[in-house]
Amino acid sequence: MKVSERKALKQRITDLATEQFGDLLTKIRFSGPFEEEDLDVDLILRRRIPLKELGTKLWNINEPLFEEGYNVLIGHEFDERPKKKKAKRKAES
Amino acid sequence: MDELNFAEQTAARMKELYGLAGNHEVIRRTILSRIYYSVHHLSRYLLRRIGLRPETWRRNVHQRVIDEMRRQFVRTNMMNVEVAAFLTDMRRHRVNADYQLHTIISEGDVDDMFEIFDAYLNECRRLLEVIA
Repeated sequence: MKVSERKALKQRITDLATEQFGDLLTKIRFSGPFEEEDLDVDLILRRRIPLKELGTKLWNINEPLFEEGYNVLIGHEFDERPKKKKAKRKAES
Repeated sequence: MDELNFAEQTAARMKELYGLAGNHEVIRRTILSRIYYSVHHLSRYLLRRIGLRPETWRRNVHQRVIDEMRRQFVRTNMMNVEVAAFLTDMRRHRVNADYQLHTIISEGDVDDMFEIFDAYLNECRRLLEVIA
């Protein structure tokens, strides 16, 4: 994939992810490819949401990319747990 | 051992392993990888049940399995949309665990993997009854 195409793909993913998750989205981490995919993406979410809602939103990002011919691996992470651990560590110290 | 049993057994054994040594990152990476492969095999089994032959595919097999699950089961409304994306999500976790040694695999990541695995497994069980 050419640099310009990769850049456009990243922007497309950012737009789709923002549209789906809005303020829940704290960060998007791009990496790869590691195998045969075009790009790897981790969506870092501010807090936990119901599984059905999460799955639907991920699908709404995956499906248009598939239709556009991209092979993108999109995963999610919640950033609430590390914050809790940090807060706990602070309280303990 | 069939693929459904393999997935169930893999999850059960990985949960045991997590309880014993989940504080070590190598174990957490191993769990993510094993869990993904169990759902990959289960998905291939579902595709075989409707007449496809994933064992003959030679290129981009993991992505093709995901694409065929989408075509055969999601677009035909046999599989719930809200669960379908979890196969890609689990694959991403596996790639992260296997290749990206500088990212942290937390206990939260493993808990999330078990949660989406359970949702995907339950949907596959339901689907197996429908296509039986």
